[in-house]
Amino acid sequence: MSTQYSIHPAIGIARVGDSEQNHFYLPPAQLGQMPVECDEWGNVKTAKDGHYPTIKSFRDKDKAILRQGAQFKVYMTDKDGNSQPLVVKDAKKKIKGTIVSGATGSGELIDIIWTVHLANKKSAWYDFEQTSGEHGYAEDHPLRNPEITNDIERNRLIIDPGPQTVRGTRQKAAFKKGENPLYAQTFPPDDTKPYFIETLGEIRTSDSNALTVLGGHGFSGSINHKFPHPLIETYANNDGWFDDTSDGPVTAMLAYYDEQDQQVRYIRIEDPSWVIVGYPRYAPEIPDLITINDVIYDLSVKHFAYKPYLYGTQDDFKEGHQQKDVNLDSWRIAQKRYNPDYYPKFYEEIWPLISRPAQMWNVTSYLGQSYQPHSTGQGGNFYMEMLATPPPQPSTNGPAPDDPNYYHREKIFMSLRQPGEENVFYRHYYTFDEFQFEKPLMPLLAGDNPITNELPSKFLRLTDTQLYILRQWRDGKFINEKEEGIYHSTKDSDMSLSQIDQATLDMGLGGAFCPGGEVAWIIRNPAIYRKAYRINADQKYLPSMQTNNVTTTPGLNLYEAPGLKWNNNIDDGLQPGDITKYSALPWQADFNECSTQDIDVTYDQWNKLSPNSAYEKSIQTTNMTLWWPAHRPLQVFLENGHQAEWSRGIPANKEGDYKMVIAWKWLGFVMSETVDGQTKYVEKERVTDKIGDYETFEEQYPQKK
Amino acid sequence: MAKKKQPDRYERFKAILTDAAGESTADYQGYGQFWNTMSLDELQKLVLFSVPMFAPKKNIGEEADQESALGSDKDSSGSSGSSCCGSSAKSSESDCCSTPSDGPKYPGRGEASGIVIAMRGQYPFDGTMFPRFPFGGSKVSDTDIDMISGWIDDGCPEKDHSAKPDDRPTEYDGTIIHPPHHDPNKIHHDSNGLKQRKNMQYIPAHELQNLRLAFRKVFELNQYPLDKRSYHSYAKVHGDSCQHGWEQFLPWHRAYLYEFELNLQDFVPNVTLPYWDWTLPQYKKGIPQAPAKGKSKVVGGIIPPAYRCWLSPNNIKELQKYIEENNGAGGDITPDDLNKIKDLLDVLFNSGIALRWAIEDELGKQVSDQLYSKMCDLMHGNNPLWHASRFPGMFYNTKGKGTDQQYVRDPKTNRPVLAYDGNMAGHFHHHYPTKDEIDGILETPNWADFGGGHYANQSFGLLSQNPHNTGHIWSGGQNPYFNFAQGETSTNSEYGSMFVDLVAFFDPIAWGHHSNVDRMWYLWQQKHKNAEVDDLTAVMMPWHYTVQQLLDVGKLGYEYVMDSKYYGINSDVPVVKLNTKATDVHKEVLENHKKVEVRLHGVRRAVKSHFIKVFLNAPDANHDTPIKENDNFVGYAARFGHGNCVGGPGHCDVPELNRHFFDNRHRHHNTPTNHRFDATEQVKKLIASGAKDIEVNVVVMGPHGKLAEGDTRALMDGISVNFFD
Repeated sequence: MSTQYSIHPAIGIARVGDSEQNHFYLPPAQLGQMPVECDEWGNVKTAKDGHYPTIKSFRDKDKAILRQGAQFKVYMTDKDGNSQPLVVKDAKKKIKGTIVSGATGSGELIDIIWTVHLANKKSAWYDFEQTSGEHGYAEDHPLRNPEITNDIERNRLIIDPGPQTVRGTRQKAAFKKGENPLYAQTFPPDDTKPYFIETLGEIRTSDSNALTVLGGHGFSGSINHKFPHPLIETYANNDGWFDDTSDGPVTAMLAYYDEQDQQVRYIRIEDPSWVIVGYPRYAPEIPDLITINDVIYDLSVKHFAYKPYLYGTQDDFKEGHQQKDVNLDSWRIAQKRYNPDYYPKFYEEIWPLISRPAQMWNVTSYLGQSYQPHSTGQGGNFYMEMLATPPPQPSTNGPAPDDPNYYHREKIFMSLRQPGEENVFYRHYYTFDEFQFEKPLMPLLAGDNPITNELPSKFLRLTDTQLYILRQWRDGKFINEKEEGIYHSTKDSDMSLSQIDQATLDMGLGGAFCPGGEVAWIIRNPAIYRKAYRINADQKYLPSMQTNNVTTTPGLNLYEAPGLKWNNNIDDGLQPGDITKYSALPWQADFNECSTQDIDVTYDQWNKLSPNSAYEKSIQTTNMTLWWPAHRPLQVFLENGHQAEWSRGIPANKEGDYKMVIAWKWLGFVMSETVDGQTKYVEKERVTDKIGDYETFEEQYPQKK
Repeated sequence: MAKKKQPDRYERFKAILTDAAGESTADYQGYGQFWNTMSLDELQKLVLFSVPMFAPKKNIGEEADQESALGSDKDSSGSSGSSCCGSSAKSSESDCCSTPSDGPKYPGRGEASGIVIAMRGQYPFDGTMFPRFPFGGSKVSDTDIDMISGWIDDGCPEKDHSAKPDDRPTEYDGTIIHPPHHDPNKIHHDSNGLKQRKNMQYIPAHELQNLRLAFRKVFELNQYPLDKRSYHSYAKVHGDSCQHGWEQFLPWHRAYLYEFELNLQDFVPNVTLPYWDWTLPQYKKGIPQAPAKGKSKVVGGIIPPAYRCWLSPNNIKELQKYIEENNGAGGDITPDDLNKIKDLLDVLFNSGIALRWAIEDELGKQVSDQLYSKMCDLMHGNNPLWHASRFPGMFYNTKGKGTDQQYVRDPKTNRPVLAYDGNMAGHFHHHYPTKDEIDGILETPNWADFGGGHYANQSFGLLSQNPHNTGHIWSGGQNPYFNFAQGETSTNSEYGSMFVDLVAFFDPIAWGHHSNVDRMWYLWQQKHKNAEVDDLTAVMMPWHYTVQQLLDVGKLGYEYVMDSKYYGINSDVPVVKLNTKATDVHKEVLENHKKVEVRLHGVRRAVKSHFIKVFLNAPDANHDTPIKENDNFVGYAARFGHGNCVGGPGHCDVPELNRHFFDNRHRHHNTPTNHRFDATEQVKKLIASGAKDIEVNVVVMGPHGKLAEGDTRALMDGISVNFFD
């Protein structure tokens, strides 16, 4: 394999913030860490120990929420698989540029030319109706803003500021109304209420030519003003509304000076990255039970031969094939399965997953009602020492003789909801473990459609790959890196490209998708990817070399921008806005309502019943189930040690949904603080002068001295 | 043959991996440095991370080797199937032997073996699933890996024969046989032979390691309360059902040990329960010594080294980490203090208390209960035969009554003062019996007086009383940290486990103690062959054994030896003359044994009759060496040949020694036989005349008084030298 150039992360996540300041922050470098601190150009001062500095506050001096920028860099991977970020020549600072090689020559890198195109297609798209549409929309599936019936008008509903290109260091460009004279922009009217949208964000380059994409300010507004509007009527589809989240491709071209020819030549980077703009992550250190990375990892493994030695053919297992060894076309039709002899690593692949339930203590009080409180302390069912030690020999058939902890692993594994059990609240049949008999299956979180009994998917389950990894672990097929003396914690600055791709997606919500957090169920559809982790972008919307294929000067033209379409075919690749369009409109509606759900658990076999039958109904049973407490905190600990509703002041009803459109920016952030070796997660930075706070009992009734 | 010999490849293989592992503490799924800890046989069966570390042997070589038993009717020369020398050549160094296949026995086996793949860093040891071997260590050089791969291709021989690519001897003719590394009990296990319970004082390190491994395995099962194989299940049986102070004392405990020993063998096949010979002089030195004397490492009584405790340098690291991670756990002792007790590391202490006090004396600080408790965990990990609630020879004066009761303490150290001092005759008679006392007990002519009487006569039995009971009481002792005010609880107990029969066997020293008690009975049975044991049909609850079934330890599959050495012989290679290496047994075994026996194991029936002569320390012994008035001559076996085979193919093949239980046909006519030679007198004379050790010399002769040739040569499995006390 020759030298390859690629942009990472493959998918980046930016987050809205109401701050109008120049400052912003970058996503956490690794799972469980705080976001990274940077200057206004995205420069990060790496500490001597290889770690990036983290932010102390999410707010600017006016208490407005800072935006999270998604940062992209271009890396070079040599034929031995070693990667390094590219260095651009800087004559002033006497920095030598990396020698890069294109199709016809090679030379010192003198510039990186970045192009990004953000858009928001939500108002032009179909209604979100739980799981229906995931496998194709029915002809009668309702559209948002249904009164608009012709395509030209519907395209007008797209917020499309056009692409922006930057070159050089410390440069910026904005996706703002009027900032793209070469493009036919479309923006909603400027009198929407309560906010209007005039920008989807901007791009900036750092001193080392890294690109940062910033999103919008969290502004949502409706074109309907007449009383009782503006109004939120449903959790996902509100006609007349717009929000300023967005997504789109991030491309780069390398410019190098060819000494031999004495001219500048260009290299176009093959695969664009993609940026997705979501809402703030209010508990950034606490991972969701299933992250976007878990979902993309699962589909990459199953559909894109991401790790053929983990999931693949018998030959892949035998030969230890990597992604590059596989011809995807023949691989896809070959008989494949999970490798029964794969040994996951405990601290890399198992503990980060099974330690998540315990962290939910910090964002919900629900676990306090539980009989099995996910405790990682001694005696708890998630006590690490008990779960970390593999037996000398694995056993797929009950415990091996030297495996005293088998039962503990089995207990956790048996409590997990398996494929096909998405609508099962608890198993009615006797399993080996009396303990699990008639106890709810895990995770006890809402599924992709817990709302109706049509095409229901009431409860969340782990991905196939997660379940497989835990099955290996249950069987004793795993390796404890610490006991084997091969454990290395990764420095932020030493992360591999795949670690960079994965880490940033670990901060995003990977389920349930109803419609979800940053993304909806479209993210698990293999059809939107070109290869593992890479979105298949519609090439028509990417800058290209217009002159010829030898990439000589001038060679670089702005592409003929065809304008975005509301009803493009997914097979042509994705246009800007094609990922976030599946999400709730405006995002605040779903965000506010996705706290808890009363799920109808009267039957297990919903898909075999006629739920609308008037007869033979059983007594309806429901279970109050949580949505995604790490993404949308429920109850949090305050600095005084009390526990309180995180969204206090904003009720979970339609009035509350509307209030959330305004008040999301005043809510608190859950941050860790370590006192005397004890780490606590505490709500901080709630803007109480805007949204108030409960008085404590002591404050209301002060003790007389 | 004066070539400079490199170490055997097997040894180099171990050294290479050990060097490359360096400081790495990699656990290999709990096996640790398996290349060092496992026997070659176990190693070749090891599957790690679902990858067989040694590929299966796939070649014609294997089968060819096994067809060479003497007596097969292939051809009358009777030479080994693998020999190219015919019957005339005698020397394994003979020039004609260079022709056999030069290539490896199992070509490709090395490269297909997980251990080679892992060292080379090939998938899955390429970092996709696992890093290369050794984990956390340095890379093994390609030359070394090639050597190891070649060694595996050759069938992983323990010894390399330096002369030729395939230089397995074609005949033993003056060849020197080394004792094997593994436990002789393995041989007895493989051939259904008697297993030997040995004297705990002299047990070789690797056998002790196996014993500890077996205990560790059953201790680990304690987490499963319903698993009857667990140590605690067995220990509880004693408290529930034990018989003391009457005629069932000895048979009940014989059954108990038999059951437990077989349970251990289910985990580690070759282990037996070694005995604690109370009479050895080394246990009596300085007993008991007052702990008030300060830095004495002997506090209380001495027990055999195998049962003692120690702290290793690694333990210190763990303790330091423990103190750092658990605020206040160390009390006054800081992690740095622990660097100052280097002199106490890897020193064997008779009790945990003795070690605790030695540390306190060294540092001038108190060891907190919490820290001591962590030490106990680590020490139990080091040695599962050690027991925290064991205070050998420690008994104290008390004062006060009821809840005010307490020990009389030394004002300086605040430690309890022993209730006796200096000499053995104190308040108690809790001491080790002398040889004379034991001999006296063994002379007791009747069962009731020796082992215990019937209900009706109420005789307690001399053996049961002292030394048995005294041994229990003495090794249990009294807990210096007992809190009188709190009273007896599960964690606050005044006496050591051995002190109380309910919990005595929770202390593993009980097995050694009772193994010796059982041995006393065995010796008594030999002395008093006609003495009657009462009530032979009584059943030993909770098992089904009757006294009758328990009389003969031979039928229970074991015997008692002070120590023994086994020399394995390739039974495919005919013996003419053979010398063993010296036994290398402990000096005290050579000096203090009562009897020596040389045994020939698994001798194949020859086609023609022949004689096997056994000498000691006579490496030049030959067919004409005089056997009269020769102190080196032990004896000879005159062996009846069975003649040429009259049957069809396979008729005279040597049968498998492991006949299955329901095979009731009569014994195969070619069943190998064993020979025993009493060498007590000869050994005594040799040692009196200055010999430092003994070796065995075997000479095989044909019927005409000349060295054996062809059919008259002998085939056998091994030779052993057994010392009894």
